[in-house]
Amino acid sequence: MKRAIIFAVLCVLLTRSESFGGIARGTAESAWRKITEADDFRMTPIIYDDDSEPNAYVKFQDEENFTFHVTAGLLKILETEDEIAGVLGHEIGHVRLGHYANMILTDTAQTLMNTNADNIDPLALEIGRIDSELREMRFSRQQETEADDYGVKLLRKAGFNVWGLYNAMKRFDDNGYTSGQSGFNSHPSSHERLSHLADMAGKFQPRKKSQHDSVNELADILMGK
Amino acid sequence: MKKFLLTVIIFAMAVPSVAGVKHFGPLSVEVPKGWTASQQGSATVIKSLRSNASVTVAVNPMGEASLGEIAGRLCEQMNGHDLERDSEGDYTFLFTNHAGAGCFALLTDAEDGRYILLSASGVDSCSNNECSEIEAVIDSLEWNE
Repeated sequence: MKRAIIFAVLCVLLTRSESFGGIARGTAESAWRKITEADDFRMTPIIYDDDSEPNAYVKFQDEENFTFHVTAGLLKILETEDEIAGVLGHEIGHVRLGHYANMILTDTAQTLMNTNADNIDPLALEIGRIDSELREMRFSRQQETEADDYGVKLLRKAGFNVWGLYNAMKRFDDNGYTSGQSGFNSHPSSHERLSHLADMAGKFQPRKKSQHDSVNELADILMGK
Repeated sequence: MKKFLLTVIIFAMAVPSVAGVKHFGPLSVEVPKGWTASQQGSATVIKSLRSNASVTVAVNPMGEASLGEIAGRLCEQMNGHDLERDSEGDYTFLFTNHAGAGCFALLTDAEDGRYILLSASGVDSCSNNECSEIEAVIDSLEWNE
């Protein structure tokens, strides 16, 4: 009987935890408007990629012309406007901090790899996956950290919860999208990045546990994590 | 591979007909008849009719990196090989693109905070005519700034 109750509680908690996920494009648009206003950044439309991998990135035509991209996978795993604002603030940071040379380099690499795309066997090659991997290595770890710092400061300036970017990164972690330290992925590891983001956000505001955090924490305890 | 490309470029005999001159940023290029030119991000891609040969040109900012660092990074990203620096300080390397075509890339310093990237694809499988057209496209490149 006791086991049955624990099992039932566990099922409810896990189901509830999953049901929190997902934000609408309207939420992303609202965050984008507020975050660009706070940074006096040129408002360009967000382009939504139909890609299940959670990601956001800037694609450059040249130093002055660029587009911001958000994938369907990202909207699916985030839960609040603060979180998408944090991710977008991070991307603005890359532009503001002059990381475009690396971005353009990777965009050019993608173009070079796809120049004869008409002749590619669609069944034999996974361009999307490879391009996605290329996008991941656009920046050095230091540049990612700099963009994270910029994103947190921008969250504060725009009046969002300064923990938004931390929470967004946590969603990646919770959903199994951890970044590694080798191969194509040059980001700092999730643990390293979350730790740094917590230090940065904590300077401005102590973290309050959300209901979602409490539920997840309890679920972790029950699961023996 | 590199020697093969150079041989192709140097000894190609046919003289291709030209459809027109296209201007892309600081560069202009003569596009052979039947080829197409398009802008893809910062790069200009000129492709043959069957899309199995192409020339790509990009003029990009150096940022804080040296030309050697940029060439190394680009070569690594595309699983390239035979990265070399020539006596004039230009960098070359070879890679295979997603269509399986053999490609050659050259990076040179524009000496104004930018670098020029020139790449040719399909160099190991182009017909005689296409190879001579690749050569003609490269020869026709002009810097107009």
